Amino acid sequence: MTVIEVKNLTKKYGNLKAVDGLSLSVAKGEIFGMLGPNGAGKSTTFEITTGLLHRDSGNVKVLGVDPQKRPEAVKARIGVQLQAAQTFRKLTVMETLKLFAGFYLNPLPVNEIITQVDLAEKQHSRVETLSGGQKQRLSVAIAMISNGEIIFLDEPTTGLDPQARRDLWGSIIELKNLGKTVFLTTHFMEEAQKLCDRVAIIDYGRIVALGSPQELITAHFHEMSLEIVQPELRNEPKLWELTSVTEVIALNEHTVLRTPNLTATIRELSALAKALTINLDDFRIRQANLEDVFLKLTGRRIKP
Amino acid sequence: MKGFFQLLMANMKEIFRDRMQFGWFILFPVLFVAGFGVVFSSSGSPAAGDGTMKFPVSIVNEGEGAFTAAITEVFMNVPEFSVHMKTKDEALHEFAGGEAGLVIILPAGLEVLPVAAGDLIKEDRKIEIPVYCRPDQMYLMYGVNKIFHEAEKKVLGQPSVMEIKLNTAFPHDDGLENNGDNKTSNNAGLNMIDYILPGILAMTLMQLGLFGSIRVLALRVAKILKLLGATPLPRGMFLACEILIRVGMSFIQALVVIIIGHYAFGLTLANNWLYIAGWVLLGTAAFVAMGYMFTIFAKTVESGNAIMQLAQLMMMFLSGIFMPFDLLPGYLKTVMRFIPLTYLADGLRHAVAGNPSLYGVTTDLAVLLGVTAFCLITTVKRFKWE
Ligand SMILES: Nc1ncnc2c1ncn2[C@@H]1O[C@H](COP(=O)(O)OP(=O)(O)O)[C@@H](O)[C@H]1O
Ligand SMILES: [Mg+2]
Repeated sequence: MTVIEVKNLTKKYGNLKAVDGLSLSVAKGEIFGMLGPNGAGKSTTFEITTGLLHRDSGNVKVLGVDPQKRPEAVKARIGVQLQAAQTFRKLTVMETLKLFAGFYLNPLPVNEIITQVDLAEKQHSRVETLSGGQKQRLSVAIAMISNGEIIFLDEPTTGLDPQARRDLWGSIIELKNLGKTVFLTTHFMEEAQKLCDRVAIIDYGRIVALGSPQELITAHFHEMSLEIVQPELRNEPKLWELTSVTEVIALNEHTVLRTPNLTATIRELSALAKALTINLDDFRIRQANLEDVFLKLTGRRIKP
Repeated sequence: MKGFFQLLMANMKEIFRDRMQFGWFILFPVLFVAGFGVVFSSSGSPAAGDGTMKFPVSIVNEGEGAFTAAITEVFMNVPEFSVHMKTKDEALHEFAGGEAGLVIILPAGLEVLPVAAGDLIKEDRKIEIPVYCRPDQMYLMYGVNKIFHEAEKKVLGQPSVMEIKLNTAFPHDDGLENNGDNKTSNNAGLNMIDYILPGILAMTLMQLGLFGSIRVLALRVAKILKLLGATPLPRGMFLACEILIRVGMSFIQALVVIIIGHYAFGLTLANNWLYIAGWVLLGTAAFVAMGYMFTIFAKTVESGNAIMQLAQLMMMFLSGIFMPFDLLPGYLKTVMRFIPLTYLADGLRHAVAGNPSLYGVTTDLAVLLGVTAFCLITTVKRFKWE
């Protein structure tokens, strides 16, 4: 069953097309991610679907309702976390969640949510005393408390350290286990890959690829990546002449060789190193990831 | 409804837990009332006197009949006045020389007042009573006004056919007066406090209205308004909650000002509480709406504060709440006419202390309602939730 349906969505700010003919649909019970660099149009799409922003053209249905025509009908059935939104500074964590719980017909129990986002020992602390990560978790908790059928999260883990980020992934997967649909945005490749059932990769307001992370990777890469870090080797012109390599991408801190035949490439590479009298001791082999997909499709990297 | 109550509580906690803000909320009106109360009740008002201060008053009685004699009598009975009967030339000479501070001329025409009042009213004519008052003794005008007002009330009932023509400087031979116009002044009340404190009340309401809206601006900047907008809470409910808090705070401050003013400094309470509350509400509405309107032009809390500061200072000093308008130079009187605070202060002087309104109660009402409507409409049209 489709719970979010976006067709040919556009939104302009002056001459800038923030969203440019974007279409996607989200099925009930999945974790759907929009992955893209800053300014790609993720938040704009997000805010149009949550009924916060008017679109220029296209169609949007959330739970069968047009959020522009009947925003209150949509808002009552979803939970929302907004990028960079703060909450009342002088309220405690507990008071904040009770406040937001009061806006919904059938909220989840406050205590349950507090435990779930790991704020139990901070429940009586005022928001102004929380760390950045704790504030971020509180804002996700606000989205969860609604008990909405779809939980919207705009960059939920931005500003968290890696450990806190993984903890929050656990909470989001928990939501899925409760039967909720999760619609999130992120500019972390790893987050999209590990957390999302399906991902839409967005650039300049358009979808450049859509599918499960594994589908996207295998569709675009049957090759392995080999990254050379050594400066004396990574700018070597002869790298471009290796016969088993299909593509060479020079990046700032390393050079990537793509190859369908890893053994052959390593053999060639060590021969090259020997000829140049360089010790081949600093290279990495990895499978392609969503970052590579983005790079391949746009020629740029997600992170600046 | 549950959401509304929760939001109300949340907002109140936000305000009252901010010790700085809350401290000023209570302290500000107390300091102002106490400060102005002390200043104006010790040196300003002849009514506060214990008999040690006597103000010389020269009366020129051109009518020489029973009615003018009765008025003279009233002046003689005011313990703070020492009345001297003079001829017109004598009195004006002394006034010009700075020896006499207050000269009242009871014109010959005044004598016919008790019989002719009916005709005068019908023809919409007034009898002018020239009064010369030194600017530094302007507060005496409250006593003078009140005496005429009462005398007239006693003799004629309600209608007012006497008009005090106030001169602050002696007319020179070339016909020029340094103050330009002769202003008609109708305010009664012996007590300068009755002039000042309603003005202070108007000022606190203005301040609360303007600076209170900074909170909404802060909520907008922190994207809290946007976050609330993403919940099913209707925007109208958020606004209702805000307005309820503003009005509640205004009533608390008004109560502080009026109670301290009344019990510590003898502020006259001329009307019932409901009537006063109505005017407080009107003032709150006007300045809360104005504050919201100003937040449209601010992108940050700092710039919002700067805008409010500017608006507040301009209105405070140009509205004549600290001094009677007679003392202001002519061009400032014109400016004053365009300051909404002028009309709130005027309305409150009427509502709280019972001073006759300087601009007319209808004018005050119309201006305040107009300001409220204009600011509200502009706000609703241009307000940004994020
Ligand atoms: N209110 C606005 N006014 C003008 N431009 C905006 C506004 N909001 C977003 N934009 C622009 O639209 C583009 C997409 O923004 P956004 O949707 O926030 O991107 P993302 O969330 O992917 O970082 C950006 O170039 C941004 O600068
Ligand atoms: Mg964004």
